[in-house]
Amino acid sequence: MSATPTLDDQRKDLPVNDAPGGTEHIDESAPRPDSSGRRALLTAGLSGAVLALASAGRANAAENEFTGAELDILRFAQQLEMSARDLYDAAIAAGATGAVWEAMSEQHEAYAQSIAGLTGMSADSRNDEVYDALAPAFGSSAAAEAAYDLESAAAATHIEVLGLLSHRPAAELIASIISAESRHCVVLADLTGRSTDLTALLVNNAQPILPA
Amino acid sequence: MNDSSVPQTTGFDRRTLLRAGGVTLLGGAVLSACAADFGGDTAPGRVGLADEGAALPDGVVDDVVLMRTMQSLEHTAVAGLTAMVDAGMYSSAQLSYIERFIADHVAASEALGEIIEAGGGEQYACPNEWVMSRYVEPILAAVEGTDDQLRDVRAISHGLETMLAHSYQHVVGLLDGPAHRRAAMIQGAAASRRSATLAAQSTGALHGYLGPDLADSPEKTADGFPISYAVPSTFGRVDQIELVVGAVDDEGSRFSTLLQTPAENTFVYAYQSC
Repeated sequence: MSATPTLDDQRKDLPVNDAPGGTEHIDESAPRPDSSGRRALLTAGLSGAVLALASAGRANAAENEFTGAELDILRFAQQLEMSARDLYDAAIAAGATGAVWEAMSEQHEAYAQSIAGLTGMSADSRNDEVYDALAPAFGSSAAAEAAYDLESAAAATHIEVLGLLSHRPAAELIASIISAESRHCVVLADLTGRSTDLTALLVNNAQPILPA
Repeated sequence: MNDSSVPQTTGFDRRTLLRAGGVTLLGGAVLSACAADFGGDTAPGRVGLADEGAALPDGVVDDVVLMRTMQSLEHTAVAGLTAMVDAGMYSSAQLSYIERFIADHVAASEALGEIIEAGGGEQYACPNEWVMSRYVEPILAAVEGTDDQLRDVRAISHGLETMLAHSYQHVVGLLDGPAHRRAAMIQGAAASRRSATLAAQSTGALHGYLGPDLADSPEKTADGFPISYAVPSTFGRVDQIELVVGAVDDEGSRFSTLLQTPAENTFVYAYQSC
């Protein structure tokens, strides 16, 4: 990726692990690449199998004991993370290169494993609906755009998950995943040429993925 | 040898004196222990006639206090960024997003304010006094006369946004209500994005997105400045943020500080108002 000026004139030369694109000034009104098709795909792939997370019931057990509803919610979150790992691996298999892709695959697996460590539920399965809905996009030249949408949806999902957990350690873990995935969004916005699009960089407009 | 010309003391030599003194002290201790309680003030003695200071009310830490604290940190960011804007320290390119950041902080404060009032609390739409006096004001003072103003305002802005991101994540572990945790991380996610944006824009091309824990990336520049990364670690962090700004002083070092997440001395308790 070529070196380009940054928002604050800081860019200098080639990166050691994937470079962001950049321009001199932010254009808040700059149009984003069309992601409506991919977003629709994500939605369509999940439609018919969606119930609100809230219907799982508000957990109200002691904060260090899991309720059955909480375990269901965390299983869903864990499988979402495994889907993300597999999608990044699919993108790598399809030719995506760079340390960012490998790092994100590993990080999503780490999130799933951390939920396993907390709950005792093995990270051994993914959410096939999410995977199947996004695998074509991750295997295409638009993989980075698909990854941006996935990270945005994952962060939005975990925020909703957080609102359903009384279990304090689980809440702390989910919060740390939200922080990390929000940062992923910025990297992917940058990689997809939206480094001056403040909406893409700063705002999460994605809808949460909801469990069946 | 015995010198008969030396007068002999009878029964009151040094040894006898020490023995008698020890017996006296022991006796005094026994009598004191056995004595009745004579009452009286057991507090340390005071010198002078100054009024005794009023004791602070007990500070109860609950969800409202934590939300008030986060609201105060949003206004701390507004105060810090606005001070640098007003001083003309940003480039025009930097201003294009800093002004957006300020607006986002104000909006975050309003969102938190609604939660605070819904919880029966009073909003605290002012900068956090402790953070301002311990961090922001010394930092801004250190930038005066700097050798690289843009470098410093970039680092300060990143530091403030990262402190907010870490703080929101930190208070999730302190908040009791799941709805409050969710509300905190809505703002925490936004703060993480601002932090990552600043990192990606300022150092992304030179050092990449991934921090030293994730890639072969340096932790600091050759000049000793911490390098910000869009993705510094696998999980979100709550640790302190090192900030180095200003010109080299007479001792060959620059001003540095560690921005931290809120604690008991930073909380905005119910009895505080602004």
